[in-house]
Amino acid sequence: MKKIVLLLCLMATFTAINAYAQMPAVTLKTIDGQMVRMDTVANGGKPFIVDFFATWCKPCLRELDAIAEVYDEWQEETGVKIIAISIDQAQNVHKVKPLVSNHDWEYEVFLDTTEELKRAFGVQMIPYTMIIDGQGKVAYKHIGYTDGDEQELINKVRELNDQ
Amino acid sequence: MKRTLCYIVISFCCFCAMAQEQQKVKVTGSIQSDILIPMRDEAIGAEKTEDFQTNTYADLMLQSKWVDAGVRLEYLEHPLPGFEKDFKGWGVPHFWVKGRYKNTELTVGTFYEQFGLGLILRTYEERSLGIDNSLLGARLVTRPVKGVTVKALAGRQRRYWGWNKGLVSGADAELNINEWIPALRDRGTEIMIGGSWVNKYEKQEDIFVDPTHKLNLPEYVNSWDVRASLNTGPWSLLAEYAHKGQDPSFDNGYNYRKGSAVVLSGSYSNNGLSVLLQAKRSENMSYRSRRSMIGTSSFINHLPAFTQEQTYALAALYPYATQLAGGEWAYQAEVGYNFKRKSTLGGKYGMNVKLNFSHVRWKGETYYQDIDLQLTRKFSKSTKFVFMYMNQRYNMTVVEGHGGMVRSNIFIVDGKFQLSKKTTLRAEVQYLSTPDDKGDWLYGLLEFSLAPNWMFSLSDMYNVGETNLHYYHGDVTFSMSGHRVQAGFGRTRAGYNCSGGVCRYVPASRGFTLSYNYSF
Repeated sequence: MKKIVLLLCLMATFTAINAYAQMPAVTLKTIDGQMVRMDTVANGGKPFIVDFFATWCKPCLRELDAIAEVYDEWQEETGVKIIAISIDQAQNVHKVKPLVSNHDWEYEVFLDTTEELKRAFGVQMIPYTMIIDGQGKVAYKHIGYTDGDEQELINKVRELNDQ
Repeated sequence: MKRTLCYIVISFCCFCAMAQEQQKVKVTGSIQSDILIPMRDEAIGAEKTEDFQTNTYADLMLQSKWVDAGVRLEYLEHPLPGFEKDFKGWGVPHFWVKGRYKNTELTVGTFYEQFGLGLILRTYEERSLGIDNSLLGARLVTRPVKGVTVKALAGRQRRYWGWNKGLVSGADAELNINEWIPALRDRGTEIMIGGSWVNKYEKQEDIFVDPTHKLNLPEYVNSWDVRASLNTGPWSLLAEYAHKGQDPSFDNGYNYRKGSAVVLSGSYSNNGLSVLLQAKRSENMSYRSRRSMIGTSSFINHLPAFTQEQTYALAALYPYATQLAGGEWAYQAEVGYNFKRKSTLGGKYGMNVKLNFSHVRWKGETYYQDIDLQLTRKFSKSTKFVFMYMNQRYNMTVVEGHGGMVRSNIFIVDGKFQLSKKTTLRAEVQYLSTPDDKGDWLYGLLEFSLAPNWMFSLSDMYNVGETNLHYYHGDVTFSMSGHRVQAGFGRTRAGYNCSGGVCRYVPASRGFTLSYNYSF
């Protein structure tokens, strides 16, 4: 009976609510140990990209490396910034800062050690990329990485800037 | 228990109703479904036990200013091959409501938590291994003043379709000293100290060492942990120590010795250079909410393997699993350098070099060792290569119970060729050479991408040494705005599937596979 009630509830919410995803009130640490509340993160009214990754995830590193090559141009043209969220666990958290330096990434990098943010966005598979628009709403999302995906990402940012 | 569940269901429903009225609720969720239509294959030893096997999960989460709530439906009635017997079932094992006021959060229902590195408490979900050791109870997290985080929790641990009878409770405090000293904050220096305590309560049970002697088992097992970290400029340092009281369990052969673990980690990261040194010693740290449990369930803590997590198929053929119940000394060193573009060694497009060394031993015996060197270089605007060499020693007897030491040399070439703006071809060739276990392996992969939606891949893993069997696989992947579908056909080798030092034996299989992921 309880299962049925829950299932009905689940279905009702699926169909009835026209809501949208936004940054949840989750507190994370930066790779330098500073606390950040995710619902306060913004990019001065411009869109920003959130990318979930892990040090052991090859497609994630390929994606972030590919973006790193054009990041300067992207920033200059659109003002977009990238927040990379590591879901590494336990002692592997300490591999993130060296990795960022080794790959010369200029992104803001946060640690989602307990995977609270990952769960809040319903992320199951990484890399997982989202664009948050100037109003703080999720305007685009993409699961996995196919070489060349970054082109679509910047095109979406351009579209949002033009709106 | 039933009453708790009822309360949560009711509050969830109220929340749904309230949320609909206010229209200020954020809804997120996901669906994940992995399906196998198995076929018999005598050559690789694959059985067909069912016509259709699937692990399917649906998550729904509602967030508002004051209250969040979530539920998860799991359908594992016909699970994929290789999970424990009790894993089979279906239901709603994850349900929670979280209230938030100022700097305090209270969660009632099931929840995940980690204290420090997780040496004494880490509840988490790892679907590939069938792990969900969430706690059902209550958790309070508060930040009473800037720089201070205090957590307290109590609950019963999930074990597949029930909750263990024992109670797990604990508390954790972390002080970020830099938040109080402006001089440190301005310099970007972080100093953290923290400590935690966990208690496991479990009733006495009848365990006999011989026909006349019954063990006097402790009902309460306490553990504690202290830690400190420093982050300044390019330097990061961390030290953590954990202690566990007498905890006779099946894992440790019902001995009354105390357990301990210590982790030290230091790194330097600056301008393309990275150096990381880590060391760990742990002994008798298997900590479960049920003392007589075996397998992968009911762990309160988690100590991941202190080795590099490999993702290339042959480099990951012999993965190491943490020896929790006994003990281990583990060391890891990693040095990396990024040669800049337009430099002598970096060439026109730059070059990245990484060297990693992992070594695990206990009482004079090597459990695992690998040395791997990886070089990544872009040769032209459209061509990029990764070269990797790895030398590995894997003590199969310690990890799997038989087989002796497997010594192998692994060579990997991974090339990426951009054919046009939207089309890319990636190819991998890997060779593993060893005189031990099943001998040499050859692996090849071709992956054709059509950005941003399509990917086609073909791979084959061929045993050159002993069985001459082919493990082929073909996949088509389509992804678009939060959806990802992957359909394939192929063979899967029998072997260990590991994640974070926890392993699960997966029997051989052949058949059609379909995976669907959706996030909203």
